[in-house]
Amino acid sequence: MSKTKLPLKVGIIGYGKVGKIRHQCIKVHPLLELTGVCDINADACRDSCTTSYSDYKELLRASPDLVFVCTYNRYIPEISIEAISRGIHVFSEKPPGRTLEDVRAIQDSAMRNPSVKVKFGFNHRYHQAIIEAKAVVDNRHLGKVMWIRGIYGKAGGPGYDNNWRNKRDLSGGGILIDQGIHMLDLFRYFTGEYDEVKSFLRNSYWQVGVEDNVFAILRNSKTGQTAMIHSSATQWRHKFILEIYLERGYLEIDGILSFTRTYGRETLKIARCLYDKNGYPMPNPQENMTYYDNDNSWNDEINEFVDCITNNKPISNGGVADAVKTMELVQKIYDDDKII
Amino acid sequence: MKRVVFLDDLKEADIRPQDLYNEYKRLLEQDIKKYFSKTSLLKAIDCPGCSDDKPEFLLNKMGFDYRSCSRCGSIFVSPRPTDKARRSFYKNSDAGVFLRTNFLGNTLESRSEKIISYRIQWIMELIEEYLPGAKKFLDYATRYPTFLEQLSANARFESIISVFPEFYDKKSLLRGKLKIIDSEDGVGGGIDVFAAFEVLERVFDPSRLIKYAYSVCKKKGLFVIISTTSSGFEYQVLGKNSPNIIPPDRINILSLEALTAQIEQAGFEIIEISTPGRLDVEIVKKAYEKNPNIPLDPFWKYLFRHRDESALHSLQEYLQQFRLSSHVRIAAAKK
Repeated sequence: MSKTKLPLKVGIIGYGKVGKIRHQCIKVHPLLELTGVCDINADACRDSCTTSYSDYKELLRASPDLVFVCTYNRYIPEISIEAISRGIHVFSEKPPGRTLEDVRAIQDSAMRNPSVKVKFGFNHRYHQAIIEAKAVVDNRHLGKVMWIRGIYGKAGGPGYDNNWRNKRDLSGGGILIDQGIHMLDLFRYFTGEYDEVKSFLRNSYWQVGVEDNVFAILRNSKTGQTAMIHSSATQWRHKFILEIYLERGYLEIDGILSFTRTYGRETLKIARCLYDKNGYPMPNPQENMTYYDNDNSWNDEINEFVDCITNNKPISNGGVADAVKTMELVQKIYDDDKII
Repeated sequence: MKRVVFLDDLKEADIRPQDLYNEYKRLLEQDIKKYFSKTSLLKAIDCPGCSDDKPEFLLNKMGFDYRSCSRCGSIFVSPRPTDKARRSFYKNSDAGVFLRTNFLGNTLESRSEKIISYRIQWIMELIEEYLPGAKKFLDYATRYPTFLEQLSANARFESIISVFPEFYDKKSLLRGKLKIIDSEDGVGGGIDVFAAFEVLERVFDPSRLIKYAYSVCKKKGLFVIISTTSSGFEYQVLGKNSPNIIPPDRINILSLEALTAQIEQAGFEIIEISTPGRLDVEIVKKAYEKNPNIPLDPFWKYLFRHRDESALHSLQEYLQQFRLSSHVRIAAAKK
């Protein structure tokens, strides 16, 4: 394989809020150089300080080495597939499209172009609390994971009912595919796959035609591992809680650092079971808590992506296979219930 | 960067029984007169936290002058004993012998359970996260042979070097991969983990020790310290009335800001600053109970009189959460 020429030329397709965040990450990366941005709204690109396009195909014709796809979910598959077919590496925001078929189409394209790296922005895997919790789970000192419980919720937000994220045609669903998908990805990250799903979908407050609350229970029929998610757009106080219970202790991640800092201080609680003289676990063991001050997740996931490109490594987090498996869970949850 | 909060049922009596502590202080006072009456053994210094040369006199304790630095907030002794004189003091004085045999000896079990094992766990967690291939460990001036024994029993390290240990009577117990030296010259380099636990507060020049740690650590090597800090609740609230301003055990009580600045200036990147102290509130409360006339803000007096243990426990937790305890631990990696 020919040696990658550095710096890598980068395009951003979709220059809204997230596209601009990606721009900041690119600015501080020594191996990346932004060479173009694209948005259907020309005004959005005005401050980008680089070549701007209104048609993504024009940007692709300029042959960047990689593109960030930061568009509405509806356009992610088409743009990603087009880029992949041109041999351009793709970093796409999650969700990877609106449906399972969308992401499978991206997967097919990636398989036809194996030299192209494709990664999706499941950035929660790069939060420090998650990284340290993963290390604890993997070293097995606390035994195997028995069950996981996750809550991820927000209070909608200004203009929530008119946000594109709640237009099924653009997004593919509601709060689950937008935010809850991160939690599903983390479930898989910590325990592997789930093949059984029971869910309840609600449109309880916002009346936007897509779900604003999802309660779902997942199970791996072989290992018995069980996971429970509540994804909510009526969580009036922003909340992120992930509890991982193992045979000999537990981990709790409470809060997740974000740009708005509204999801609380990111905290990892670790406790090891204590046993009485007969070997029975005693309640309320000592808990150690770690607080994290910085969120480097956005930069770290890009660092890993660039490392995979420049050193021809496989994508280990948020690759196409991860995207397909996580979207399978989203699809199963949607398929199991009707929105009430 | 991160911080760790660590709460359990540790009480001061578990590690510092009052009768033993009082006797140790009595012997210190007696021996300090004997060992440090010659002023030639003492050297005046500027602030060891920030080199400011206009410190203010704070108090005289057992014959030593403590000063406070208005620039960085550190508390320190000047003039002070050289490292050689201090080591000789601890090795030969009645106070030094009492410290090892009675004070630390009689609290070994609880210290082992509630201090040493946590330190080893901390080191192992850091290694697992930041330096999985770590093989070479250096401890600087530990007073706990148990710490080295427990560390040696762990298969993680191929080599453990103990520099200037202060447990002179038990060297014969140590063998195998553990090497004891009373010189910095014999260390060489390539250290994966450099530990300075409860050491910075008693060395002549903490800045020099930090730079030394940097010089012998390999790239990405970890520097882990545990110390006491003037930024914490105990010293901030009690000031010169803190019962733990004790020479020559604590001749440097650096502020958190001075400490972190020195570590970063040496070339380390700090990866954790925590103040996992568990005793600040208890110490301040006891100082007030022992002497109700102690100068203390009325708020604290009210708190101690009218609130129960759960409030005090929550306060200690708060101090940890916001790095306001007087007991600090820092992990840093060599860039």
